[in-house]
Amino acid sequence: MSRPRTYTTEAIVLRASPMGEADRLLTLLTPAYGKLQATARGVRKTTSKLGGHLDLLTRSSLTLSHGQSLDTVTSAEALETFQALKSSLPTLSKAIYLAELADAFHPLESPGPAAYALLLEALRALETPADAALDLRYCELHFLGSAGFLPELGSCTQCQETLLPGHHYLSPAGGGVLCPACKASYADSAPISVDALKVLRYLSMNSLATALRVKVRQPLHRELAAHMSNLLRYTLEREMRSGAFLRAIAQHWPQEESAALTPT
Amino acid sequence: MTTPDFLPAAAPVARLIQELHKLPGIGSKTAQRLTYYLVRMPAEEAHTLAQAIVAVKERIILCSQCQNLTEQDPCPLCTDPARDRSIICVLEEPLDVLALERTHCYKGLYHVLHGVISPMNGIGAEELKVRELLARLKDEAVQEIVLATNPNLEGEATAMYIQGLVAPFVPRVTRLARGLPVGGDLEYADQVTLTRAFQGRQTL
Repeated sequence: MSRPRTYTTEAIVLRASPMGEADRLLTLLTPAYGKLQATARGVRKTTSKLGGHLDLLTRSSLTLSHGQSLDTVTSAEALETFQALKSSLPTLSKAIYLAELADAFHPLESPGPAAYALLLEALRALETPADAALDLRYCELHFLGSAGFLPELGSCTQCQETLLPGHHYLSPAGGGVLCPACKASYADSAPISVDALKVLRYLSMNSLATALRVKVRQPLHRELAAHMSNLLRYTLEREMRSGAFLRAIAQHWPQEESAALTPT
Repeated sequence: MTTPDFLPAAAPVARLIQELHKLPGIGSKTAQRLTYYLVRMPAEEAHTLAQAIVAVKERIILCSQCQNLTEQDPCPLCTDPARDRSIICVLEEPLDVLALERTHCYKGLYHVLHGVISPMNGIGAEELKVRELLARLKDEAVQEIVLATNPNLEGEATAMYIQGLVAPFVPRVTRLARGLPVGGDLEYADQVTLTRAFQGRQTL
């Protein structure tokens, strides 16, 4: 029996780039089919009935038809448009960063219900105004984990000894923490505070909702951000492109961002 | 992308195919078809085409005020005494100026950003003509900025970003209305468009 010509799925639009006269090439994250690339014809015209349902960071119910190289979106209906997060630059810049994480860590056409659920949950969390300082760190850690790169945080990656209280080091190349005796094994090992290590362990073991209740002070937040940024850079072999925008917004809109970081 | 193999074609033909293949939306087959069309074209027409391409590259510059493509600086739109100098409409691309000029309803000045903030592609405000816009606001007595970037996520992000930057210098910052397109069908409209159309309803 030949396979059906069309299939339906829900999807979150991660990327959209102009193609041809009025088409767009979309990168979609779906629960059952993983990350897909598909064309959406004519969506840049104002009279397109699909266009509004396929904007970036929109969760839509889609029908796609199989194509020779790329599938084509034949119908779309928006399920969640995340207007609340899109109406403020600080939350929007975070959401764009999350979409880039999902895009970067998910290979094409490999089923990813966990990555889909994580992105959806994180976007929904951004919709409700909260001082969620650790949402990005949580997602960075779990997207790393979904791709098999979760750093080892319990024992030294080199000698396998359980970590004792004291000075520890985190090495992206080593794949996790190192004890003082093994820190010289990797050139990129950087000191990590006990508090930062505890927070990372807590984030890796708990749900997003639980993790969002954790409040950290500014210096610890900066340390966590620096460690995660090193891990991402090493794993992706590049900088996160939307990181610059995220930082620029954090500087231009300091009042909202600093509220998110205020220790309680 | 792999470089297509045009070896069987004569060297100048292969070169033209390769050059055309670099253009957006032109695949290898289209590039070959266009090349053989150009080969059969009368020499005069081919020269006119070549000259037009050279002229565009040699004579077109950016207007120092509105950043639109122009042959003379400042451009005719910026120097036109009939235009209202107290209002600036901010657009993504030079083609958007043509679209708005076709409406004959706007008589103010323009500012072309030459792109849109696209964080995932690493394009931030520094890559756009935002600094030039801010410089204009310090010199000219501008009363209103109309943000006419595209009504999609990146356009909205750009509009919000610029709004934050220009608000201290301009009494009024506006955004083009979002709503139902003429000739469209209500039942196919997405929730956001319908919501915006409803919010922006007007008394008849």
